Amino acid sequence: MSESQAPAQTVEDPFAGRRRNWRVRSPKTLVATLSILLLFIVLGIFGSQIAPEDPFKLNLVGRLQPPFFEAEGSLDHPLGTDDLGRDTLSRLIYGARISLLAIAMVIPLATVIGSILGILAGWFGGWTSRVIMALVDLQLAMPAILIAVFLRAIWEPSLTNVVIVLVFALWATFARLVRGETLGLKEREFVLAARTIGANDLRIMVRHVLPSLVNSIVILATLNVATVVIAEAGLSFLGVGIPQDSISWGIMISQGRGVIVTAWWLVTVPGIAIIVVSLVVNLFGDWLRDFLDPQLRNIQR
Amino acid sequence: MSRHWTKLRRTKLSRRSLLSASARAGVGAAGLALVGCGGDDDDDQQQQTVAQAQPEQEQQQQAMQQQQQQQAMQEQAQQQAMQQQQEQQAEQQAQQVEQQEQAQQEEELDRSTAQEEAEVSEVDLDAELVVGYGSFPPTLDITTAGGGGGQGASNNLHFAALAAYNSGRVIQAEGGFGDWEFADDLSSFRWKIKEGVTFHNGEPLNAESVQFYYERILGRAEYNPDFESQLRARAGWMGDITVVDEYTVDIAMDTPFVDAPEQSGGINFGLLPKQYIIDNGDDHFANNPIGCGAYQFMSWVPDQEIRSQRFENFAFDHDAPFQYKAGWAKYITGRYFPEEQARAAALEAGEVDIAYRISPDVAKQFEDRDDFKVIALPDVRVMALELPVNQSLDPITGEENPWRDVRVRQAANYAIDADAIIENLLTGTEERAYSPFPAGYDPPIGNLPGQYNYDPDKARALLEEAGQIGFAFTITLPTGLWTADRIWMPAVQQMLNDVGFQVEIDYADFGNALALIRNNELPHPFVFNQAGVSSGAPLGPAFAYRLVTTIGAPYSHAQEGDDFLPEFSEFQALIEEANAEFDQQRANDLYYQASVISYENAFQVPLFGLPHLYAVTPQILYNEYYDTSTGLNAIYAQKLKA
Amino acid sequence: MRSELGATAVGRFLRSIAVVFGVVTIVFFMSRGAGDPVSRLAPIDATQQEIEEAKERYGLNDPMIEQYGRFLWDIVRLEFGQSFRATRPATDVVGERLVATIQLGAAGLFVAFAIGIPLGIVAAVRRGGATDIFSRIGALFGQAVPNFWLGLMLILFVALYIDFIPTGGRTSPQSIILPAITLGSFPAAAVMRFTRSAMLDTLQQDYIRTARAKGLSERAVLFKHALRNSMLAVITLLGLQVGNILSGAIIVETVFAWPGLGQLIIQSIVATDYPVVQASVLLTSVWIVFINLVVDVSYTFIDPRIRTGAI
Repeated sequence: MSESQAPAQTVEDPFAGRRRNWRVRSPKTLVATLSILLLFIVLGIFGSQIAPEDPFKLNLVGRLQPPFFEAEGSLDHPLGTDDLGRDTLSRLIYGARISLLAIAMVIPLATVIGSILGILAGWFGGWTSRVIMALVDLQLAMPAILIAVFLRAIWEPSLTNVVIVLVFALWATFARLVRGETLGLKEREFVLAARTIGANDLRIMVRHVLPSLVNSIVILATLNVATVVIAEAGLSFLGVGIPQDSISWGIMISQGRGVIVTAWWLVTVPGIAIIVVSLVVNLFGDWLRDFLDPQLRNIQR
Repeated sequence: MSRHWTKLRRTKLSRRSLLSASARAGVGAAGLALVGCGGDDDDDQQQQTVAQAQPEQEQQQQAMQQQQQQQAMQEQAQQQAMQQQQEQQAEQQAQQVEQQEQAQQEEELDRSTAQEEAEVSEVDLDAELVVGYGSFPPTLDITTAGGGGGQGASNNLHFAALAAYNSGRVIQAEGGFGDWEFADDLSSFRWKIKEGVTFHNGEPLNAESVQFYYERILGRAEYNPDFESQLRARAGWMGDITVVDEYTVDIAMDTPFVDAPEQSGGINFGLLPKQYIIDNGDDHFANNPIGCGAYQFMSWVPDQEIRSQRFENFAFDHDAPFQYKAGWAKYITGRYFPEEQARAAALEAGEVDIAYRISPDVAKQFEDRDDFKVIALPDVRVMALELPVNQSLDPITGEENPWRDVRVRQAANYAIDADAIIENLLTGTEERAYSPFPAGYDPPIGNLPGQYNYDPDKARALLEEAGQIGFAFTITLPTGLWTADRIWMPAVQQMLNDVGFQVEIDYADFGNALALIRNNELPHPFVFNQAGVSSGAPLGPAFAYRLVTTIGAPYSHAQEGDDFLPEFSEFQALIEEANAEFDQQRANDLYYQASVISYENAFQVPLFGLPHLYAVTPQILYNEYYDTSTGLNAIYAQKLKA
Repeated sequence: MRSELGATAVGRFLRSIAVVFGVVTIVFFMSRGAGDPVSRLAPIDATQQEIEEAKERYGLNDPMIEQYGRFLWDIVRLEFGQSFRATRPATDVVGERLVATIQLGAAGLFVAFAIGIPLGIVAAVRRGGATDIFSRIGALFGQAVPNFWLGLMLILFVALYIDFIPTGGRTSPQSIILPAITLGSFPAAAVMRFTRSAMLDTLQQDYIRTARAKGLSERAVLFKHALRNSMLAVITLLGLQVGNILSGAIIVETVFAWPGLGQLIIQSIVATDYPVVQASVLLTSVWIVFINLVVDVSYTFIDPRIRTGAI
């Protein structure tokens, strides 16, 4: 699990916007990326209406049917069935919900907490900064998975645990980024001007500093989406994520690994889903960065 | 089948025999009866069916029909044999005890050669046998290692006990290091210890070691009174333990305890060297075990490997008829692979000779191949869902406990299609259970009338009638030891949900869950294996009901002070009466009546027996011996010469 | 100058102490929240009275603050109590595993840097070239493939076909190859991206232009100046990756049967063996803090310009 990896890299990458040639540039790629993203969101929200079958329905006689393109497969179960005869496609669609839910809860929480602490640290400096940066260090010293393991001991497995763990893992990257940018903004003319007319700290932070940070925050948030998807899968794999009898892509992989030799699709299908969503979200993040940051766009041109 | 054994044992008790020789002989006769009854032969057949799936069989249906025919014929033959055997046995019982003993031993030897076992000359006695385990013990001290992974990888190799189970799964002195007798008034129980036995470090086995062993478990040993072992609960019946002479120990009993031989000399009670432990301490011992088992410990790296070598001064040799044969391979190395597919891959890559405890699905990977084979051993126990019927309130909602309603309990029974699970998720050879005693148990407790066969509509109707559609509860499943637990349990869960329950499964650590159950901290249903019997195993009703379902049993919801259902009190009274009944026929009648009550009131949801599956290289032969909780015991595995 | 650096190092050290203190506090309150260890420790047939006595003996009836103080004192002495499972001191149980995990972690980091740095350099120097595009696609995948999946795939498609490489365990030197690759693949992507951008950054600097203007060969410019300076930035990544590597190790150890701390943590948590969990979590955290401290301090000494930086 490397929750803080991609973001850490992003934050400290001063040439982030400049270095990509392979990216969403043509409208076609953008449309494709957006369509996949949209599909993911629709599946996550309306999965129960879309899924062709009840994803919990047992069919012990028809277990481990391969996908339709294999000799023994059929279109009744386009992506085959799992070890209890449950329809893989329907489970995949349902599984999107957990990933989406995790994203929908983790990203806003981590963003808000991290950004507030980051601005405070950057703006006030001194002890405020020291304390907050010590908290950042604390996060670094306690890998998320250890927190997950501990929470598993205290509470029954649930999505809430996963959310707490991932928020804990991600807020610090936002704090680091926002603090750094705030430090820079503090010396900018418009901020200094606001100060000289006697605006109070809170007002300046909310009215002047924050709007300038929004772009960077949104970009970082987007890039962390993929991290959430992968981290949820990893936690579920270890049995410290969501309950074993709910459906998520991570749990699907975890349950399918016992028959990986005879039923390759049970691990591969959700695995590909995770990879595709991560890729697409990353590409979208790159595009968003270019789009939101005209300065970088200009440099590139 | 077990009637004779139980009867004999009870006869022995009722006669209050002091002579261990006669006790041994009695049990011996039972062993013979069992072997003759075909119980174990049946197992063998199952073993072959799974082990030698023939890839060239193109017309599978035909083949299956053939197999079924064969099976039917064999069953017939077995039944005939059984009848004959019973007649024979009646004669034998009339005969002199010495003759019986002799006959039994002969039969034992015949059986060994009939099984999958090679001549000594074919076996590579210098071989190193590498076994890939899915779980490993946390310590190597048999008293703290717990069941599960420790059993096969360490306990069974390094330690030996006072008594042993023979291949008919009867506890007996022969083959162990002791011999027992009950005092006339049943106020005490005596172990006579075999002379001349030494531990791996040369320390002699004597009365002092045995006394020390029990006192250590009980926290009475002076060197460390704080020592704690899970075995303490099993030794709770022991009063004062006295050394009578160098090779005799007496254990005082508050109340006569029928199972004293099992519960002080059985497989978990591996003997320990007193002086070594006192000199080196418990911590050292937990890392450097010394026993008197067939293998002596060489080295271990926690969660990596345990290496052992054959104990050349072991008290038995390869011809020993009972459990403690000398080891066949010179070295046994246990390796730890927590991921099942990694374990299978290790076998495939030639890194291990045996992939221990695999799931039916992984077994199928190896079944169709020439370069590997699968061994399937039936477990001696029956899985069942234990229901909390004697608590008036639901601990979660605080309302009336829905399990009090017999319709809810019956609904749970009707809801589960155990046959489909056996057929599709397991190997297809498991026995469907209807009580703690599977079909074939005699008296026919397994063949109760009007069995709850799968009927989801009826289940839903019953639940609706009871007004409990949507009844939400949790089932605790101790995981990690029982075959394919994460495969059949979700199926059970979904089947219950399909008829209107709302079930959550708590996949708990095995030892942890057991502790919770024993401490009576699980208010909701849990899955347990009932120490019942598989074909041929004579762990009778007394043993089963001492462990589960009855009041105060370690793995039962029913505790003193509960609000007992009238039917349950009736059931309990019958069990108690049966437990105290020395006349076998009468006792069995009582058990039968009790089981009928339990069944009609659906106090539990019996499921099925589970197999133990192993994939091995073709050079490995394995001969089954009784082994309480693990199935395969590497001591008996033979690696053939190349 | 020197004394100022020393002061920075001391300040950094104090901050590390504060962080460790924070970890200890979190672990204490989490484990107290996790329930009463006595019911687990007590023998099966213990009576209520015996349990109460045991609680008294372990001081669980004392005020929280007193328990906390004792916990701190225990930790200073590396006393974590007896492991429930192994019935031995938790410190010993954890200590045995530390070496295996550090070995795996170091190997994983080595893989990450050995793959990431050269690719990053080439990608930066030949920007837009085949290596650049290829390695950045690789990096995207590297960060999108779950490592437990990669591990199983490597067992099934590499270990089974190459005799030299075992499927799991830690029995021979080559045992480490597959776990290290699996563990290193994820951070390798990050290292590659970071190296690339640091390198690009350096190449834009004035002194590089100066060096070029002086007529130094491209090779000399690259290796003598650009590389040396970008590597300084890459070192900071090391500290950030240690935590990730240890997290990843927990999964990789399970897949490859590597007898390290990760497996122990998972087993202990499943068996509610809290002393071992506490000891493992604390030791892991201290280890991460220590590495970061070393990286930061050495970095400050190597390049004094950085120490006031916002990173």
